[in-house]
Amino acid sequence: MSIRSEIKELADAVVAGDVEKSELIAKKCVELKLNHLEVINKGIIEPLREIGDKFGRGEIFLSELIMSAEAAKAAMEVIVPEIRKGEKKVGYLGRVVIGTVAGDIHDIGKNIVAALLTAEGFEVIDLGVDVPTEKFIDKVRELKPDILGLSALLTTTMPVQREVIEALKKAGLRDSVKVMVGGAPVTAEWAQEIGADAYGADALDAVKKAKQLLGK
Amino acid sequence: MFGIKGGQIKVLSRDELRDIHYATLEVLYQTGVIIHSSDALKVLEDAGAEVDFKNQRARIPPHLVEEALKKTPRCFRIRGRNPKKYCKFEGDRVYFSIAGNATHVLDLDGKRRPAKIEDYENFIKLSDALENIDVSGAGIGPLYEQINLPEAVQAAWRYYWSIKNTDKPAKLGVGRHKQIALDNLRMSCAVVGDLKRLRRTPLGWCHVNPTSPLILSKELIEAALVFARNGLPIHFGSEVLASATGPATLAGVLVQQNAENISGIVVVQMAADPKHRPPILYGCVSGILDQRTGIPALGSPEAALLNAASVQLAKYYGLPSRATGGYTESKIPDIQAGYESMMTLMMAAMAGANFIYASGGIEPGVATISYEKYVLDNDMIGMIKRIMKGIEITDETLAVDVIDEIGPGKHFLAHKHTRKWIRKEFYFPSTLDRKNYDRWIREGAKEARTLAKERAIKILREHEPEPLDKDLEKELLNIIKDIEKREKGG
Repeated sequence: MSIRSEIKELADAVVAGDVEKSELIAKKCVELKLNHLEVINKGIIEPLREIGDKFGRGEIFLSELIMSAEAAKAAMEVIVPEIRKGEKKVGYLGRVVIGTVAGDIHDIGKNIVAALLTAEGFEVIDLGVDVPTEKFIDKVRELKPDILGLSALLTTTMPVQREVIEALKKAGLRDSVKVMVGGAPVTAEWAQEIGADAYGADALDAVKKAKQLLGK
Repeated sequence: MFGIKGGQIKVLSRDELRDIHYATLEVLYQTGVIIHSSDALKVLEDAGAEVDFKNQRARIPPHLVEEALKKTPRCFRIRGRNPKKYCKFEGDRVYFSIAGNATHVLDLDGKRRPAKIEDYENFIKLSDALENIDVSGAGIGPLYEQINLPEAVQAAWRYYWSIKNTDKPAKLGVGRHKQIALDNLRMSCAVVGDLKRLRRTPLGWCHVNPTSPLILSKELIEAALVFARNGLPIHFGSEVLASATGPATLAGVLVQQNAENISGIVVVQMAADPKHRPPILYGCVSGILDQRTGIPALGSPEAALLNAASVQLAKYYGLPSRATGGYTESKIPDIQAGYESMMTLMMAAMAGANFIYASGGIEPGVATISYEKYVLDNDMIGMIKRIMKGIEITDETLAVDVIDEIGPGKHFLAHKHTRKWIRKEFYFPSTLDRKNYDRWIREGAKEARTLAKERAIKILREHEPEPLDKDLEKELLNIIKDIEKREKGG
């Protein structure tokens, strides 16, 4: 069966990193009642994976990858809500909630990780920076993510990562989610010391570890 | 200490500097900045800026910028524990330092490991001994082994280790938090006597790095306000990463960095007591985000260019400048480290940056400080200083009489003019080998890193910094005890 032209257009928009166009065509696909699975796989995930591979080979740059990830995300946000009960769950590899810990407003690293995770096929909810510990707990409770990612850029805000893990334990949520930590001063030793499940040395490593955590 | 005279390189014309200035005025008024401090926002509002307290956003009109810049002193000096050792940040005088907030150390045995207290003191000692380093520094930030201690306690200990192991200027400043800034003043007043003396010749400054794009964070600006209200110097230096936290174009980076720095300058000048205006150190830590790895690259040619241009911009405003040089993204002191460090240091120095910060380290973000590189960078600085010293032209150096005395075909080796001038004219590196091949092989075929390692070991074994006055030491330790008590008990 040949691919519908709209799905091909969506794939092109994702590759081109055109957020507006992706959103538009995704809406068109929904109106035309095209098969959700096919739209997501052929129109979003496969082209995005190819972009990811190209980045890995050094053929395209980070900004281009990020733009494609944003375009993909915009399209996913149109399609995924349309998936009705009973229909096969498609799309995301897993759900990740990510944020920079309280007292720290640095986010460029976290943003790159979020983009690469999206490009890899994860659903990423980014809580932003200076996130109060309580908010992390509330969101874990509400969104039931597979992974909670905590970023800290300063040695002085790193201890908050430990606080969040302790708060998860206190709320009885620690076992319901895998915790990954990262940021410039963070080390594997620190991650182990505070009881995190994984440590991302950089954005690419974070993606690898995220997949490992989910057994993929 | 006079420093060395820079300013030989100019990368922008005066018209181009003006373009950047006007673009900056537009950004400050059109886009503005976010400042996470209602104290600072109130200062700006009272001064005439448009402030949206709910969103913590301030838009600064051009006339305020001009006023703040006009009110800023054009120079300042810092001193060490020893008042005879000082730096004057003015004009084209260039001083070199070691820097970074490294968390790890590349040890002399080649192992990379977390930095310890011993390393901190060692690096201060090294910088005390190394002849080309003007301002001492450990290059190490908060230590993992102190991570469970309150930040104020950590900062106080670092102050103490710094001043204990060198009597050179040691940039005994502060970065974050109002209380830590107050603690810092308390310790500095103990060293020099009182606030008046400290104002006259500070021991350091409040070191602020705005968060790009366009944010002044709470802890940093509140510390700056403490220094501002006491008439003490403040450094504003952005680390804009082109294509990530700033535009991909270098001109755009300069504009944004300028806006970030100037927003801080406006806040502190408007908050200051007119009797004691705080001097400003205008800084650049900007570079690019490497688009292949997503990692910042400050050892890049783009960073070198940005620093040179920033220094010019600072001079355009009549402000003392700080540049970042001696930087490398290499993980070892190798050829990449050589290229990147030399390139960035040379550009910063020849642009005439008054204070150059960040040698001695390796890895992106100066995550690691290396004993070998510290010593190697000292030679690199020495070579650059020699170039900047230039060529002295006098009748004696023109040497017409000497040339005539020696005559065609003879040699100059034994002439007393030669003996007099070789020590003045030549720089003798301590870690770079100039033997020919055979001799080099016979003497162990040592490369630069090895020579640097040997020198580091020798210095650490033999060098004794001027001991800290016992009464001062006691006083500082008492202050630390006080701080520890306060942080524990509240």
